[in-house]
Amino acid sequence: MMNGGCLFVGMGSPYGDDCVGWVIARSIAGRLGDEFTVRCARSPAVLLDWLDNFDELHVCDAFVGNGAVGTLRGWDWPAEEIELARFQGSHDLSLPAALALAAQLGRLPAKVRVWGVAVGDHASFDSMSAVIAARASEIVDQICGALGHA
Amino acid sequence: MMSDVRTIRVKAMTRVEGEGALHIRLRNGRVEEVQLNIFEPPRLFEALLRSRAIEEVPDITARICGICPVAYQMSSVHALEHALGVEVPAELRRLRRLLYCGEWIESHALHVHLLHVPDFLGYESSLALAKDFPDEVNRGLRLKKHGNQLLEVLGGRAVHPINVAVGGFYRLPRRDELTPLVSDFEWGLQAAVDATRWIAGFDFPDFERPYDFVAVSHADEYAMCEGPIRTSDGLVIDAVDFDQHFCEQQVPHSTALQAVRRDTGRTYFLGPLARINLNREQLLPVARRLAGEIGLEQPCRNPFKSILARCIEVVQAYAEALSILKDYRPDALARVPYEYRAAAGAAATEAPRGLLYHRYEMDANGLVTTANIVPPTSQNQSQIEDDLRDYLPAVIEQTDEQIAQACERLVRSYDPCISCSTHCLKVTLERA
Repeated sequence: MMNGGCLFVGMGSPYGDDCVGWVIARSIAGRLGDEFTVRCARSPAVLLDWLDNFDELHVCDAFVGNGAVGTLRGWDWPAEEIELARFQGSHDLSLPAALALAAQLGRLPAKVRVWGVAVGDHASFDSMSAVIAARASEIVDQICGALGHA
Repeated sequence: MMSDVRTIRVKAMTRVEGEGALHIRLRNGRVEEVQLNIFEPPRLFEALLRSRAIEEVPDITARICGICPVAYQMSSVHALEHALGVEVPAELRRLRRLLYCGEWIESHALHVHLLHVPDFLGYESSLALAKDFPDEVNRGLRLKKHGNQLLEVLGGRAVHPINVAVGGFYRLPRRDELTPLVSDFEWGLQAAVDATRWIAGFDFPDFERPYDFVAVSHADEYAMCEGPIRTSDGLVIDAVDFDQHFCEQQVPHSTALQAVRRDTGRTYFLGPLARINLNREQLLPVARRLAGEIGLEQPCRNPFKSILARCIEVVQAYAEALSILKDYRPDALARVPYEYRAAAGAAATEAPRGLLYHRYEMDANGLVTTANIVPPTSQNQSQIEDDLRDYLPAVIEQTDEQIAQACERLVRSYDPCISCSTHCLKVTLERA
């Protein structure tokens, strides 16, 4: 049963620029309306536990690919660019694989948008890089604007 | 005479946890070399633990694996409590088993339905499987979700739980947090039985080996957290004596240590199939009956049937979880107090993939001075290579691609967690 709600998921980990999905989700939580449920996740596979009862899904994650570090990209699922972007993480299901599996099972909401934040091709176990940290609030503004909550 | 050399490389194995490769060299139709290449970088957890407070150990070791963090927490707290002389009361002990049930359910359900079933039905991925078997895949995902829900309620979160403490838990769940899970788990128990019956109907390769099975064992329950270590050739030892009977050794092609029996030099087999073979009588009636109904041999020496043992253990975990969920009454005591002392302690518990051994030494201020962690996948690694050497002659006439697929399928039977196994490389630094 759909309840007409929207799920916004920040994907990532506490480490380095991989945490940008969490940072964006936490910042965005207070600015979106009641129709949005905002959660953070480490593993894309958990989306399969959360999707039921939503008719719109937004996922924000760090990715490695074309574009300057700190660039925000938005793709509507399905899109070839989502397959080509390298989302962080090598274990479990990747984000594209989790979305594809949900779609195959008929459990993906009608509207799915993936927000990718371009990060450098390196692992860091410190805090976010200065470039990403400086861009975070602007990225939040961009996403909120796109969602009608500028 | 020219020798005919075929080299088969699986550069990156799929549908396993972590990153590894397989290298096989055949010469004149004979198996010359088999190497399970573990190339994930070493993670050096034992060194990271030195000088850390013992209270940090369960949360640090949980980071070794995102799939089986509870196993690392359980082996670490049991080893530390052994050193401290702490006895955990019965109700806390049951809660720990409940948490472990959650991990067995989520880990086994993931492996069975998304990683392993595609092999038996000829699909290259769970995505392809889902197209033709959506109900079965959805059922598996729902089972996995139940395991995660238990971890969230008891552990604080599904990945890397944070509620396990030396001496017990940081916070006990309220009864009203656990009882809402009962109806889901009643559904899940029947779904797990149905899934087992479905999978028992698959075709299994005809392949058996004279394994030396090793598992924790317990007279009164299906062993998870406590009990002596048993082997199928009759050895029964306390976990504290693990190092006297099993040893790790480094090989050039792997960042993970491999393990063998110290007395025989032989490889050994850990995991659900070893547990069922050694502890079948301790299964709860619903799981034991199901093992008989599907005709699981006792002992079963076919590694491909590990998937059936995994399914039986999902049923076992649901049945035990249900009994605990239904009559749970929070104890007044969340954890047992203790005093620091210079001591050593060891424990072995049963991770989803097999026996996980931890040993710690601590000083009088409660700081870790030595840590040794032996995960199941590194122990199974040389057994996997032995299996492949034995299995290859049966498929050697096939194409390289078919051989690679057959070997990957055999490796997946062990549900290897390569990330777990790579924390234990011994690094020697020489300075001129």
